[in-house]
Amino acid sequence: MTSVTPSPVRRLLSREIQEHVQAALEPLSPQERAAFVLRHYEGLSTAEIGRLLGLSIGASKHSVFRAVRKVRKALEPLLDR
Amino acid sequence: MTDEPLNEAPRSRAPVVHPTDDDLVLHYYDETDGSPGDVDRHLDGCDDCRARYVTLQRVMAMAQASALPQPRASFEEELWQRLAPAVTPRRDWWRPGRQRIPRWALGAGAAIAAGLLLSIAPWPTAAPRVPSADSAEAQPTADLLLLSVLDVHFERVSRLLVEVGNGSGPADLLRARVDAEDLATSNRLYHHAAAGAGEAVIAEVLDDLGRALVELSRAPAELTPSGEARLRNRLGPGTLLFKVRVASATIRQQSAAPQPAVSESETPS
Repeated sequence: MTSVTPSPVRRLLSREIQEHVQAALEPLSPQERAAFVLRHYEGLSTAEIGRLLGLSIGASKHSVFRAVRKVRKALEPLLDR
Repeated sequence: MTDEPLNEAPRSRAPVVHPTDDDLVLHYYDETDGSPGDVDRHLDGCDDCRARYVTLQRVMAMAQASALPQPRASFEEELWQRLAPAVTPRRDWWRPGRQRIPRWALGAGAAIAAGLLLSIAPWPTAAPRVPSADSAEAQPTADLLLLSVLDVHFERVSRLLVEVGNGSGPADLLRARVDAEDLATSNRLYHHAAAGAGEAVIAEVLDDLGRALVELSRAPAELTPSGEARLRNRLGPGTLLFKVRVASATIRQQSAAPQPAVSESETPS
């Protein structure tokens, strides 16, 4: 049977990516971070996020947009590795 | 880029409208304002936009693969620093009988919760609860501790609900059953405490949670695929998780409300 255990290199890269994600989330404002975590990891819609955070849908979307821009800026350099 | 406009008929002379980065983000999350088909058609015909979208997908997949961000190493210490002034005078408040001291809540549970709890805090706009003078002064320590413990409890349950909703296979469900049984026991305790503290809304959420946790903990070991899917659908992310999130937000507001100082007379000698 073929082993599916990630190679050490792969694990190291995963850890590095995780560190980059954390670093990317650090500078986000609390609102942006909340919106991104709820949208990206928890799967809530922007409407639900707006209700939860007391924001309009537009403000909720913009929080997600700003967060995604910052996360992209941090992670895109890793794509070609 | 091609000359094919996003929302126009092929023969229209209107300028090409390419989706913005924000449009692509909405499309990625299936929240496109208009018809998702319009964006798909544009991406099919526009190499540049398709390349932008593929890059977005890859970045987002990378962020997804890393799962929830880990809590800061200092999280537990920060939580204790926040609690310590209030906890110390009444250290025994949460030690009735065999009830489990929420060490897990401040350890493992807190670690699980940290990614969201501290990331999300402060909840920015909900009106903070203004405790009445009577209630605030009657048992500020108990209130603060109850709220803090509940905060972590809700996060643990949220995590479980998300795992149930997103998991697959009987092994996942078996682990979830064990966790649900553990959480159901704690949940009963917290429900009793919340009801006793007059936190009717929180108690109601805990009541709903209790039923869900018991249902999950008593799920048959041998479930048919369709039965498993129904269970996951019923207990996974949805209305219940949303209620928990709202309750969690409420708790954070209450925890953040100024607590009256503990008088010297309350400090044990």
